[in-house]
Amino acid sequence: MKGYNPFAVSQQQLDEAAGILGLDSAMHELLRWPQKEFSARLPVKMDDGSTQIFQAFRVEYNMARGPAKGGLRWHVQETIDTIRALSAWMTWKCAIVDIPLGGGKGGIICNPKELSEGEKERLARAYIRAFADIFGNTKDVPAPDVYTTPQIMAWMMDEYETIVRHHHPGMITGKPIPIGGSQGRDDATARGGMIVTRKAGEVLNIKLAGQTMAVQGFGNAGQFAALLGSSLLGLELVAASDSRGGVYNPKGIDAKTLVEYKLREGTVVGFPDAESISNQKILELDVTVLFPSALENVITKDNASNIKAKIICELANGPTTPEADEILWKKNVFVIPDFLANAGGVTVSYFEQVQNTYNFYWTLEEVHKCLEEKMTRAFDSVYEMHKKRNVKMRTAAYMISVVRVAEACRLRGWV
Amino acid sequence: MNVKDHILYQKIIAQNHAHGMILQVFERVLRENGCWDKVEERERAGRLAAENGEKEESDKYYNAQLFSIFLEKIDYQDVIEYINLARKEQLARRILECLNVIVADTESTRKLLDEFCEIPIGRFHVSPTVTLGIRVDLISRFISDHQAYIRVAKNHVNMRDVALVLSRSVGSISQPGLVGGKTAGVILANRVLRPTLEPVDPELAESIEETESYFLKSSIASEFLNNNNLQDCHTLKYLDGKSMQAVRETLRERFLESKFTDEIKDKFKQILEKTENSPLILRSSSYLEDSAGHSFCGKYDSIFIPNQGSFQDRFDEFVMGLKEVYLSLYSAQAIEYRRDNNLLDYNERMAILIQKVVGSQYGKYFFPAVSMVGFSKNIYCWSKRIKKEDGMLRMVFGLGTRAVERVGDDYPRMVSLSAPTLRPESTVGEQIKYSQRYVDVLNLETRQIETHHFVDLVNTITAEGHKIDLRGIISIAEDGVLKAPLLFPDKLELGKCAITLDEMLKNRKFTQLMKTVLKKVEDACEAPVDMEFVYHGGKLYIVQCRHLSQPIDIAEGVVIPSGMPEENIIFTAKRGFTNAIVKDIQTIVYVDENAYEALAASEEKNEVSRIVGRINAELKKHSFILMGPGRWGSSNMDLGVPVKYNDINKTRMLIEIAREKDGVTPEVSYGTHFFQDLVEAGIIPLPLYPDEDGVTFNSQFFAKAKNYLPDLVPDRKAYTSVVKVIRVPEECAGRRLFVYLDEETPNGIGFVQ
Repeated sequence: MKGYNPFAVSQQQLDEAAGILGLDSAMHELLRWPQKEFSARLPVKMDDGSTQIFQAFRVEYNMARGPAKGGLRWHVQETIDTIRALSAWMTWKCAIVDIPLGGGKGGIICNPKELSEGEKERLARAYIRAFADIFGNTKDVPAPDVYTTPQIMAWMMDEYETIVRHHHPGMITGKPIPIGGSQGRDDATARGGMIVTRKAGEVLNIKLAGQTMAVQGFGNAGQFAALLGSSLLGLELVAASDSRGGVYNPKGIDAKTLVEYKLREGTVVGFPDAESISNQKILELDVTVLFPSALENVITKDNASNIKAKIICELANGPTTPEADEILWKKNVFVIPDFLANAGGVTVSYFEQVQNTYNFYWTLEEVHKCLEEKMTRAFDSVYEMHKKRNVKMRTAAYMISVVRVAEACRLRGWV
Repeated sequence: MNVKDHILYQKIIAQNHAHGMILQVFERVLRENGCWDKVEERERAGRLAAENGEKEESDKYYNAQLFSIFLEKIDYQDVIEYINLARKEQLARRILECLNVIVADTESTRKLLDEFCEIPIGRFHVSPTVTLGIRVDLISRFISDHQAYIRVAKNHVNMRDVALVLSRSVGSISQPGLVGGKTAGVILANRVLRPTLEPVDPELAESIEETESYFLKSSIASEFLNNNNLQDCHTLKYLDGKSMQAVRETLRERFLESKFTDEIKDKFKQILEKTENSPLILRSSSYLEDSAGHSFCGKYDSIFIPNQGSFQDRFDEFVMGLKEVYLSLYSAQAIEYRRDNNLLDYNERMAILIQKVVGSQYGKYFFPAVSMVGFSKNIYCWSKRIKKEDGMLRMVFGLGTRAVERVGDDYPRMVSLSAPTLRPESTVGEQIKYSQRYVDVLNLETRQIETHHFVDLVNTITAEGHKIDLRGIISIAEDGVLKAPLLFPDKLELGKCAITLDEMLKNRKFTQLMKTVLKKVEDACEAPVDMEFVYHGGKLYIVQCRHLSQPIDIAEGVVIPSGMPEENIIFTAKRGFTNAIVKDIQTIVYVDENAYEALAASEEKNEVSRIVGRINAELKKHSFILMGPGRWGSSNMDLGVPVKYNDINKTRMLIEIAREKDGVTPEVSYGTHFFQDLVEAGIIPLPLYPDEDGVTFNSQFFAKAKNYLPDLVPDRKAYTSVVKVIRVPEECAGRRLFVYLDEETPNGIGFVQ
């Protein structure tokens, strides 16, 4: 989107919450900007013998509640403002699920599509060499994000441990399980979404079992949403879509069979016993729960008034535009905002860090149990604020997180 | 006379028909060495003969002197070499005699060549001029009469090579015939890479194997047509559409009823005896096929036959397969292609290349490890790090049918040999999504080519207890990492593995081999080449070789016009793969992405292709371009308009509009037959990515423009929301559309002027 500055947007969102909360100006100013920003130029030997220099960043937005936590993005159009905005959102996300972490984000301006495996490894190691001083499980903990993978996390951890000369798996999360990754990471985002959806059903007095769901976007989160929506909540899948189109059967689609079909064919299109449906139409189906799970800005002022779902659980980041949010609020559609709905991912990342620190690893059941507790508590507090202040769930979530971070700053005597 | 001299004498005597030539060679050699004065020696022989009272026998004395001095002056080993040289020269003369008639007698030529080949190669050779003359004659009589081919082949295909070709050729005795373009290409490539006379690069010698092949010359087809009253096939091409269709409707039946002569059948049987139980592929190899500028790719049929079971079954299947290949010479798309390329009047004939299918049997399935298409020039340079000159591969697991065809919603591995492990997909999810899912295999029981999901295929094969080596081919996704495992699981799991060929591509020996092969053949042909390979059991087999069809290339860089008023710009492109300027475009045929996507029924999407085809026919004399969503020509209509070549062959450009819905670049059509068709027809393909930063796409222009579809296709008014025919001058005050594409920057613009 041309001219779009995500950092300006994140500042506006904070301004709005600060206005409602009546935050004092010093605190408001402190929270409007990252606490620390680091940048480095990374020289990397390329396969053809040349050396290429990459621009790298790390932003620690706020660490009042704990070590900075946030992913590393490798993107050709990376900007410091994108990283600032994302580090701010990480701060609020960690606060909303009440994990003792601050917010951070990092990135390298590069096109990973044009890097060989060897070059990626050298770039990953160069990044750690540049920022080793600021990383550590009590300081700043990176994780995978856009175009960074568990393999890259593994290289980074190895480089870090080479520098500090002892094992330190908690300095980074999202690692492969054999070297300190956590169980339950695969479906963490969707599972967290299910827990808050179940809570939404309870507070809205909707018995979800036997009701219908539609999943827009059938990538990792969408597939798990269909499977877990069915197995955990008893929801009946009636429609799902991906970038190539959608399928719809009002009588129900077996989630497991559809996931298998998707894995086999690479798309849901062509699934037998279902009719075709467009990505637009799926959003407007008369279902109980809608899971937008893929892209930003799919629910807009143009289609919001046609939405018939009772609950929207935003598994994707930013699927609803602010104008659409307003329309949905007036239509009484219950929206579980993205940074609550998809906080399961960062929560399990935190669990990984905890397990690394204790050097004791949990079973899958233990991970699920802890996630359940965290997400339930997060939902309760947001819902309570939503009811008490009669604000949108999104605003309520913002308010809670800002209050939590501000409180930590205050207790530390920063403001 | 000592023992050695006696043996040499015996050797000469044994070559009685070359006796004269041997003496000529001896005389020439001695003279060149200054040891022989013919006049003096003649006088001396005359004197000696007279002294012995044998005046009439002076020639014998002369020859005896020659022999005695030759043995005295020349080493024993060299004497043998010179005897062989004389034999070769003698045979060369006889071969020339044999070829110096209108219709060369294949059998006699073959016998002479065989005799020639029996002589050790040795140190001394027939004069290069004579050799070259014979090579050219042999190539043009038995392999290909295309001048462009002969010009190259004469430097690489020698008499011994032609002898081998003839020993594997089957042809009618009464008629001459060539082995056709496809066979010619394979022969040339193999000889360039592994010459029979010159030293061979040890790397290539070790890595390349030749597929066991037999060649049915075109004369078999000619005789078949004549013997079965099918001569009307020759003139079918001149019939109008309806009449041609009418003839074609009965043609298959007539072919199936037709018979080969007993003599020819016996030759087929010999081939089947030699290839017992090995699956075969019967590949079309017409005269025009694979010639420079006209690949005919995909126009004629190639038929796989399992070659299993009783001899009669195998024979019947073989004959049926041959008829299918012959029949494809008269298909609509082949004739259309010829018409488009001004080749209709050429006396096209069909030869057949019979190759043993390279691969292994796993229970009832038979397939090779990897099949691939290789281009010596990379026309898929999606990154600046990729050098055009290093070439590219399009690789698949299993039979090569999936490497050469546009296979819908499936993704062969595209490999840029500049950076073999580089791929446009970064995450594990993307890599799994954009990988080959389906494998083509030959089922020896059903006797069909079947397509199976690779997970099912591998699991079935392993469950039945057959061993299949997946190293280098499949990677397993575990903990977010996609890699070749140390231990393969007993069973593959959907979504947890992908055909990546990663380990093969990490092996520099393999990628270097492919680079060398493509470069060597390109250098020999003095033009970029397009080759098909099979890689199996660590050996590389060449199954096809032809000139690469390239987009219309303007040699000098194109300067993209700048400072264009924004309202004049219709689109800009950041990715172009060729230099081109397309001027004076009058009409844009635009398929609206959203409206096309909203068509739920497949019949409606097929109808869009038919409408495009009708517009194509209507506008054939006009300058128009096609624009529309996704991958055109794919069999999966959800990916793009499922047109066939005939539906779009008159357009000047095909602009595929690709939306980056998942932040992933969709596979473009480069490297497929469909792409080749476009390129050969001079149609410039351009992928347009409207969602990319810095790219302009004037949606307003397309939305507001008047739609002339009802004028062109009046009975399809219902499709006006999907297919728009935009007359540029009418929309833009008499101006026309111009498109400039610059490969270097890369940049492109379409604007009205």
